[in-house]
Amino acid sequence: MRKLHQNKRPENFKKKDRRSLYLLTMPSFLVLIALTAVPLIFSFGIALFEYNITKPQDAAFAGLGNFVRAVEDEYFRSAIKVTVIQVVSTVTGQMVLGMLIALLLSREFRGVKLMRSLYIIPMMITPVVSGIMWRMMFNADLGIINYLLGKLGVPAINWLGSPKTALVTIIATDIWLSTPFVTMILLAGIQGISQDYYDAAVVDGVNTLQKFFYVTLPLVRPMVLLALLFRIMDAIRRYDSIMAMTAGGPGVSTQTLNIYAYYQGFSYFNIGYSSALSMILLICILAISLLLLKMIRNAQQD
Amino acid sequence: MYKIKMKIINGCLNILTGMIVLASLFPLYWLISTSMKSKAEAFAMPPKWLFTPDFSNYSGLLGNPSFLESLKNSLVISASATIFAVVLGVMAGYALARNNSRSGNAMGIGIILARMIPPMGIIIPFYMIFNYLSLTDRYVSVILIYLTTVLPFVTWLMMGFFQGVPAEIEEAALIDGCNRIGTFLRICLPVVKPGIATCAMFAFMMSWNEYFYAVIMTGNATKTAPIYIQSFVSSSGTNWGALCAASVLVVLPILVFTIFCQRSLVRGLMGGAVKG
Repeated sequence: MRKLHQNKRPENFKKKDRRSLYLLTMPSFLVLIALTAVPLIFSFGIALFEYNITKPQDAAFAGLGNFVRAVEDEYFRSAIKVTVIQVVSTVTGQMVLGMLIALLLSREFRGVKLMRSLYIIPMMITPVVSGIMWRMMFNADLGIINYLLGKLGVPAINWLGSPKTALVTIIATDIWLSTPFVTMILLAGIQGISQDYYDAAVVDGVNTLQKFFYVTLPLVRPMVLLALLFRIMDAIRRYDSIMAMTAGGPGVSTQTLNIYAYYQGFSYFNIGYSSALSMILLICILAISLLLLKMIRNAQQD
Repeated sequence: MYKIKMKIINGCLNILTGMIVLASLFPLYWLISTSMKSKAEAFAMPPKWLFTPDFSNYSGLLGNPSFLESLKNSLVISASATIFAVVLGVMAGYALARNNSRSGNAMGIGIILARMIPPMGIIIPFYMIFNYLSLTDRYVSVILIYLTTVLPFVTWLMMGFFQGVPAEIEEAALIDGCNRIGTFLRICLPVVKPGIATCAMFAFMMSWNEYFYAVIMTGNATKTAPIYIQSFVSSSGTNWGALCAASVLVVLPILVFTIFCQRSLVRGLMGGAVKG
């Protein structure tokens, strides 16, 4: 009886059904609009003003002046350079190492389950703690790393004190912290590949390297792109561990765009300029992530 | 011959794997061992590999009210952010997974985009607004700003979980006269329980480890544990032993928890993220 009754008014039911779906989405959607879109528009507005919070009386509409200022600002250019080097090297390092370690951990042998669990631990570490820990280990005079290198005959290196090595140190730290994340995603992908593909490849007489490039890699492509998306986004806005290790120094050698925008806003109180820098950062992140999202969608359809 | 060769290669690879895992855990070992060393031993050269563990750093911290206060702040903020994010995110994740209309998809993309916003892009207006409302240095402002990263993440992940639940299960109930909210609560929710646990864990971890927003939004009354740790460094020469002990205490809860439920976590993250 009931069934019949329902079927008599599918139109009305569908409408009601759709309404309850929106009802469920709305709270989350509205909260996020209020908490992100509104401040973002506000931020974009501030970016159009020459505005220092300590001198509110001097505030003036500047149009795109802050963006022009950025192009002419040598610190901005240096920040872009540092950001690109930092993002490209950490993400490349993490992807290559992450893939190699995922391949190693995807084999079955005694104790591998324990190793898989242990290897993921660094991912859980509070980034500030990671920064402090590595800063201690990279200490020029008393750190364990120079001590161990000294045993191998390498002279002491002032890791965080010299502009050249500081950036390398920053990069290495993040590779340690986030490679497990990449490994975890790729490992799940590799384990999801059906053995049939490999059996077929063996019949065709391919070697190990070919097996990787023609079977494994194409099949885990969506995971590779997904890991890439997360890692690039997080590397661009990385803050905690850089602040804990070098705070952008020595000089501006580890000052990424994110950290430069932070200093402009919260040390010099140039919130107009700082907002403009943040908007540039936002546009870069959006462009890269939309591109990657599109690639992920295409890879999933293949 | 070939078999022996393969065995040797495999053996070497196993050893290499073990060495990589050990090497990546070494910094943590060093952190923990430094936390149990006295001031003089912590930076002794050559380093002391063998030492009698000294827990005075820990007992000092556990008797330090401002450190305990920061742990409490972290706990309150992270737990509240987690609860809000999970309740709202589960609802939205379900509806987005089932709503294939154009506007439904647009809302889904909007929520994903919220996760991509760099914190620097919203923190200044956020601070100004909350300052204007005299809500800075209150739990509510910190919780709300944490939601900007945690809520999109939970929604996105939950959407993946719900997509993994076949729609047929619900259709039968819908035909039997159960409405959407009813099927969601009674049929779908129990199926995705493991997914909800995964989301809650990640939401908690993200809030617990957060630092950037905390630097700006917290004050004396709401200082979180990561901020407290950082304050160790600057004040009157760093006491590395105590700093390491504090770090261990902050990392420990997350670590213990994730080690125990790692399997479901990894599976959950993959199940949600890839489909989403």
